[in-house]
Amino acid sequence: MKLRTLAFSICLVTLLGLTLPMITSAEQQAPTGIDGHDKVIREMTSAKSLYMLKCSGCHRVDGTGAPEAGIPPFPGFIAPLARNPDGRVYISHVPGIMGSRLSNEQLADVLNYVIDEWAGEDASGTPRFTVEELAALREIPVTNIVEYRRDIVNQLIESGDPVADYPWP
Amino acid sequence: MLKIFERIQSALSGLVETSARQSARQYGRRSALARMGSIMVGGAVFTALPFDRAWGATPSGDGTYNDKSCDYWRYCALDGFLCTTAGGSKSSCPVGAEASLVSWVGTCHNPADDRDYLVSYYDCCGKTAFSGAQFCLRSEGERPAYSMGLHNDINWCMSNANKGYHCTVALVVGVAE
Repeated sequence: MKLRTLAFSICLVTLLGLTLPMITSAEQQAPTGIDGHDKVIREMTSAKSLYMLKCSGCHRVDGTGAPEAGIPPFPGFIAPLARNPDGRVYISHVPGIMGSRLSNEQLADVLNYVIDEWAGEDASGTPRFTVEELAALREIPVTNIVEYRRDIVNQLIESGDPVADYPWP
Repeated sequence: MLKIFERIQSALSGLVETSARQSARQYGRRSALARMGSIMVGGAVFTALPFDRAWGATPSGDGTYNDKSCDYWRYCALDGFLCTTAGGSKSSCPVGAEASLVSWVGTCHNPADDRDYLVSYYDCCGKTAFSGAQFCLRSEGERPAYSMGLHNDINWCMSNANKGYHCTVALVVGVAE
């Protein structure tokens, strides 16, 4: 008799275990595979919208950043940085690029948008990013970005270019 | 009369003495220390646990166009007090509080025109929180740990001189296109 009760409860538990997830998962069908996830962002093509979504939170809508909080401004500083070969590697490794989870196509568009908007008079003399170049630059391992930045800052000072205020020079 | 007190006293001290001796025989000094230690460590662990903002109201779905409700469409990733219930509006801070210099931006779907909008969540800072304000927790698009920039538990007032958190506004900054 006891054995029968045990067998019955095992059956009941197994049955519940099988059917309960079915009932709950039927309420909300989760997207499957990469195609189902973050579709809105992956299909975005406007560089301005992508800047707003992925960069403006820190660099702000007008590109002025928050220097006291460690976010340097773009106007006056982005052009010399983008004209320096090491500066281009650095740009490809800032948190907004590395942590964005955007495609290289979207990222190249955003970087070129930043140059278009804030390089000012130097815009015509500043090379833009191609998808191929950006993909290659992102492949370069930059393990100590802080030291690398200091190195580039010294290069810019030497060439007489302006350097942004930054709490960790 | 005094004798009665003396008797009670001696009876009490005898009782305490026997129970103390008994417990000393039963438990070593180390066990008492271990117990005290575990209580202290337990306390320390509890205070070190991450600050939980998870006591907000969960959306019920009937306030999609009411900016004082957690269900309002713009608040799809808002974690904090609604400025609309703390003396401000859905896009501006209450008097005496200043907007955070940095914010986090996500997309929210507006069912009215079936479009996705870019919504920037600014924290209003430098004023103590108002206990009567509506607290909300919605985390669409939040990617904690993987993308710290998409973490709505962060107090964005950290970038300001006055770091005290007051409430959060949801500013539409564009269309996701």
